[in-house]
Amino acid sequence: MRIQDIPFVMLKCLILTIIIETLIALIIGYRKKDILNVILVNAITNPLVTGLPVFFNVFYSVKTRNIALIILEVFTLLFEGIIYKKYLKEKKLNSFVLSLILNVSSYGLGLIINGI
Amino acid sequence: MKKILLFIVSLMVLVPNIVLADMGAPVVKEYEAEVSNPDGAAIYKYDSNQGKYIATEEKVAYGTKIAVTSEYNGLITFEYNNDTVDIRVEDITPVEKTPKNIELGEKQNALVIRDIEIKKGPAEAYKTTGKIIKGNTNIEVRELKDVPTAWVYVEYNGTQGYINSINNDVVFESKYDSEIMIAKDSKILSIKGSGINLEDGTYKVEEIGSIPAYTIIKNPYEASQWTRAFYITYNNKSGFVYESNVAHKVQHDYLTTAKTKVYKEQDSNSKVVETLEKGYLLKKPYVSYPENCQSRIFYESADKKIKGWIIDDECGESDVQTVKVIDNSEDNNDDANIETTITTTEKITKDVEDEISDKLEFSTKDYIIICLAGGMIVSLTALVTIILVNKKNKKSDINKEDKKEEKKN
Repeated sequence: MRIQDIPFVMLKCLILTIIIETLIALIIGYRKKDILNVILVNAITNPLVTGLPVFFNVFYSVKTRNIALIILEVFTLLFEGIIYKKYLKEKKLNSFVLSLILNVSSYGLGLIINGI
Repeated sequence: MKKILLFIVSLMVLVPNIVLADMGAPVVKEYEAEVSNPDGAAIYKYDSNQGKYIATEEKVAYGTKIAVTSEYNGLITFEYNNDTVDIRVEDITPVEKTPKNIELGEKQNALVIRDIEIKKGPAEAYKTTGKIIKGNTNIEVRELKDVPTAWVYVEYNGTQGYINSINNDVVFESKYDSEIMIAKDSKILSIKGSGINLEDGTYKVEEIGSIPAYTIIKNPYEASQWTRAFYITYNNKSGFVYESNVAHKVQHDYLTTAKTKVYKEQDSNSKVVETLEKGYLLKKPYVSYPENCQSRIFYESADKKIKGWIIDDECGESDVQTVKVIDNSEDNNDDANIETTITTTEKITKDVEDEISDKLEFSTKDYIIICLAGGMIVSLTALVTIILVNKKNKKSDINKEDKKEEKKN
């Protein structure tokens, strides 16, 4: 990756994450305003999860980056769970379980797509 | 229990691939650079089975300072951990954006035959600062003094910088040959690439025309040192002729020391067309050097009806050598003077640097901070939006409930 590719990579990650998680949420049975919340919550967390590790890698070290990434992932799961608990109308699943399912799915599919 | 499980599972979620994985060559004037790819620079090794350089798992870490000594085909070479390694030129940034104190040689005219980029420094890693469009003859170049590199200094339309002659996109007015003769029927060729490694597919040769033997070409251009050829124009075709097919007009005479045979071709197995007596003077003839130690001296009779070659094998038996050099030249272009070093030097000044202008460029770290700030703005905007949207939804839900209750009542 070149430095000038970073914004495009961040944007691509955000779009892919939103698409994948929206699809999974639809499959689970969430609709309309709940889907909008899924989209918005990813728009909150994804830029930080993609941008901050690059920052730590460049300004500190790979080790710091990896630690930051783990912390960010945990924070993302918890934060999204809280948002889903507060704002989702449909209570099909426990909000933290939902957060876990959506994030693992987007991560897993992302790996497959990158592998291609 | 659920929360503990959730916590453990979430800890097991590994680092996602945030960034997509993509995520000797000719000498350059040694320069300091640093690895600027945040993921590090993959080390490339030559795979003889595949016939090309392949990226390995090993990387040079981001920020590592290196001293680059050569480059070829998109890779640069440097010493690392007591080994010579190759990484991609895109993964590094020179420490000095514009190199200073480069000593230059004498001016030389050049012809750009393909569009060529001007760089701030004499290596691929430097930024592009301009472009010269093909067909331009009005450029003056200067070699780098004491550095056997293909890069030359150029000033073009107010832009100063360096261009790379290695791929024969630019050819130089010959320093030593004001005229040449085509020694045998030859093809005129289009040559792209350096010819350093003929197996890597970057060297492309195409026939575009032909030129008959004994054609005289005045003021030819020379290709880069790795492609031993001249660039000429004949019958509206411009292209390269290999040096082995060319004879040079020398500035000294030859004298036969014995009866000397003249052959039709540059080959002692070909027909003898003439025999010269001892003491015959050949005045500043054309001479061809097809192989080491061999000279082929052109002979033309006074009535121009007989043309042929005297074979002078300098490393062979003495009885083959029937001509000797008479060095009565008053010219300054004889061999002894060819290696005269050029003493003029020039430095690129701070004023020129300002003209080229680094003011608008960001450093790597600044760029990352800007990207992160952009990401935070997106996050904050989304956060505000989610709060406002849900507040609005809550209000409309409350209103709907109030209306329902009213209807009931």
